Amino acid sequence: MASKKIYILLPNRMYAGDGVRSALGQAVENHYAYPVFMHGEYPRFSEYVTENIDWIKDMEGDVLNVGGEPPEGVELTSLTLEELGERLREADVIIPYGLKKQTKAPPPACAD
Amino acid sequence: MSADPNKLGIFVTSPQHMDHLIGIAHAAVRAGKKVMVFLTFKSVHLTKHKDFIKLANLCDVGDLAICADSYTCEGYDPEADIPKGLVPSQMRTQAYHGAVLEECGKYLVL
Repeated sequence: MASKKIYILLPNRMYAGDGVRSALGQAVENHYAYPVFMHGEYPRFSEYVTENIDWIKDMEGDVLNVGGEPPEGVELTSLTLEELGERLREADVIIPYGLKKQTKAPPPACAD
Repeated sequence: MSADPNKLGIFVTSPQHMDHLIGIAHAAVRAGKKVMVFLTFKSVHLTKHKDFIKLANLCDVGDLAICADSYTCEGYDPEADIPKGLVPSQMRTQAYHGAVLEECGKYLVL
């Protein structure tokens, strides 16, 4: 089986856990996995997510950060949106994660 | 195993596209193709949708799976609460997604 380059686009912090876990699953299957955290504003990752990120790096993948500061306690590879665009040209699979963008602002009770 | 051009893989992360999921799967099967589906993240809530059984009926047992960890994260019990239309062996890990990419010549994300 030929290894694929798989980019997983994670639009916000909601997707950190499952997106990284999904990338690790691909790495275990001998693919090159690149989860991409987009738009910044991430809280400190849990130990579980941090460990998974380290596993992905150990398995010749990488974890990328586009925009904003990466969370504390973990080293991500920062790149610009333009650089991400260039990287995506070499992708075999691009996986956009998540839900449709909401059209109505949440009430303050949902903000935290 | 090489990718089968007559097999469509669908990776589902969103719980918002049940109609599309069933519609695409139905169209593919009607065209003589096979469909392989993996549900993860919030999409596991689709297993509680009244039409989930329709999706299950469109796929062979080995061609439909949900992420057991996501199922747990979303508050369900992957051992005591097997979704209607599935059997316990269809509660899988993220490695199943790797099988989807390996076996399917066509692939999309919902």
